[in-house]
Amino acid sequence: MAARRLSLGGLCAVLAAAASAWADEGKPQRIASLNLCTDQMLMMLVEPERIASISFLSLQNERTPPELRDTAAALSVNHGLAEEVLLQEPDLVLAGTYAARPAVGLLRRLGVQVEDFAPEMSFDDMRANLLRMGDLVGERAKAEAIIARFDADMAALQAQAGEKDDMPVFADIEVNNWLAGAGTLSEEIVNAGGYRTLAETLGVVGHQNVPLEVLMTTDPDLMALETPWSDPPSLATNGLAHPALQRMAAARDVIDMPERFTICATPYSLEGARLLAAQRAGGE
Amino acid sequence: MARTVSYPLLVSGLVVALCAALAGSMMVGPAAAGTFELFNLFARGDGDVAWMIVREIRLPRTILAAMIGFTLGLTGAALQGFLRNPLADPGVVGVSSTSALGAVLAIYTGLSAMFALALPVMAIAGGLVCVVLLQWLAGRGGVLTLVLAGVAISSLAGALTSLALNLSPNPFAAVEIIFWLLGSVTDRSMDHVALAAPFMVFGWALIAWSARSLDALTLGEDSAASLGVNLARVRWMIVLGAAVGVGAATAVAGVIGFVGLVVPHILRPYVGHRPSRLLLASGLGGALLLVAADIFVRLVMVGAELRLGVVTALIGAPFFLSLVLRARAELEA
Repeated sequence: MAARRLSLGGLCAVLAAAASAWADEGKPQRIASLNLCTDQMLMMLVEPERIASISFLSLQNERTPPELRDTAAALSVNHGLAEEVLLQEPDLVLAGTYAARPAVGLLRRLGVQVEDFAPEMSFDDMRANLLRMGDLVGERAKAEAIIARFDADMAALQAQAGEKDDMPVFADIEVNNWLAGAGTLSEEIVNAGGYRTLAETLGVVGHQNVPLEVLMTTDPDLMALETPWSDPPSLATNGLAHPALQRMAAARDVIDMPERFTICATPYSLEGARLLAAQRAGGE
Repeated sequence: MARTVSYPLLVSGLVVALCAALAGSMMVGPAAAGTFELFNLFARGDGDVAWMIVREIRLPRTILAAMIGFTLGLTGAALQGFLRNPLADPGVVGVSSTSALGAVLAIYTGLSAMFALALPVMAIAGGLVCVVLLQWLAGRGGVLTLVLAGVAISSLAGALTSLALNLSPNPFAAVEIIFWLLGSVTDRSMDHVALAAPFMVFGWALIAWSARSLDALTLGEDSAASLGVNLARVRWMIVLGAAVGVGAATAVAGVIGFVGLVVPHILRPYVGHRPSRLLLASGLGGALLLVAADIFVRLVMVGAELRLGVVTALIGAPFFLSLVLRARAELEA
């Protein structure tokens, strides 16, 4: 037993030495990402040749910004399973703090470097995650450039958006009547586009599903009822076709707000704010 | 065991209670918790909104809860009388689960989006498959065989339902396993009423037609046959009525268990053990139970609504256990 423990310790030491040697040598060259949002940041930061695999979710156009779709389509994918990721021989694995946890534990035990990223609940989170990933993959300057450009775009939108009290109300009703309220990424995007969210006016903090009856008693200026997941259907997506909701929408302006803007915080999310700003400019 | 309540009194009592529950169901909801708040909406000049809430949201769920409860209570009473088996219930024998499987296949393949009637028709077909299987597996067996066959069919149908939902590329489908296994009438619309109601009424008619024969059957199959009962025809009417009614109910509200088991058992002592009388009483009792349960899920709402099937199971499962205890006591006696 003692000998075995010794040899294990020896192995760890060798691995640690190898790891530090690799760190000196340069940037990771085979990076695997197990999470949709780390996928997107990774594709923005490094050349496709350095990506070992991304999650299969990034192949779904409903979730991936158009700007990244071609890159994603050409890459290998993983399904968050330890075995397939190991076979791809990554030198760095990026994971979300809530997804593929069994695989993450297993990969760590086998000595693979896994870095966890908490989901971005705001653009501040996005800035922090981008900078941290930039450091990890050796592309700090690129991350800083992306953020600088994002900040400029954001400032331009906010200048246009005006005072919050004057903003019209936008009801982005997601499947199962979920609304995104105060302290969410959606709120930041909607505010940047010159609208308040319906959830804010209802006093909702975070995400909450609101009974259909309560939605009926509200009076938003603009509504979004679309979901990209209607074919094949589900009860949840069919629920948005409820006659009461449809009647409410028929009496108001309606906009198509794809949900990919709010799944992950990236500079591409600002496209959602631009859609809203154009709607507001057109309406006035 | 016979209690001294006359049948007309029992039925009118159930009708009055059901009417009260229906009225209550129209007045209770998250938008206006109490009756007065609803009237306030009207008074404030938000009459349109109040009407829309009542007409488009509360009316369909109230109609569905009442009709589905009636179907389940009636079918439970009919199955128990016909099979002369106290544990026969659409949920226990597996009709509800196979109907749910049929409905799931219709919805998640997109079939019902192209052709709305596919939803009730597929659910009814699922129910029919179950009753045919039951006839084959347990047609001649006792209480135990039927329940075992029902458990096997339910588990298989439940597993296949979960499989179908897991295979769906729609990201919300997997979560909806809960709806299909536990049932709900939340946010159903008048479209669902229009789809399911005609089939449920047809199922009631088929079962009502066989009421007299059920009375004769209490004397045993041979005596019933000598009284002129065509057993084969009665069997098919009840089996078809159960599949059509429960299939249509499950297609729009998922599996709601135990109603057909509990209600006939509670009411049986009051109707003098005559199956034909039990049918109407159980239907009314089932409607009352489900409308009341649906009011309850709205009143105790914390974040998300409870599922109807949770409430009926909380009432029904202890009742089922008490039946088991009673059966054991009879065996030991």
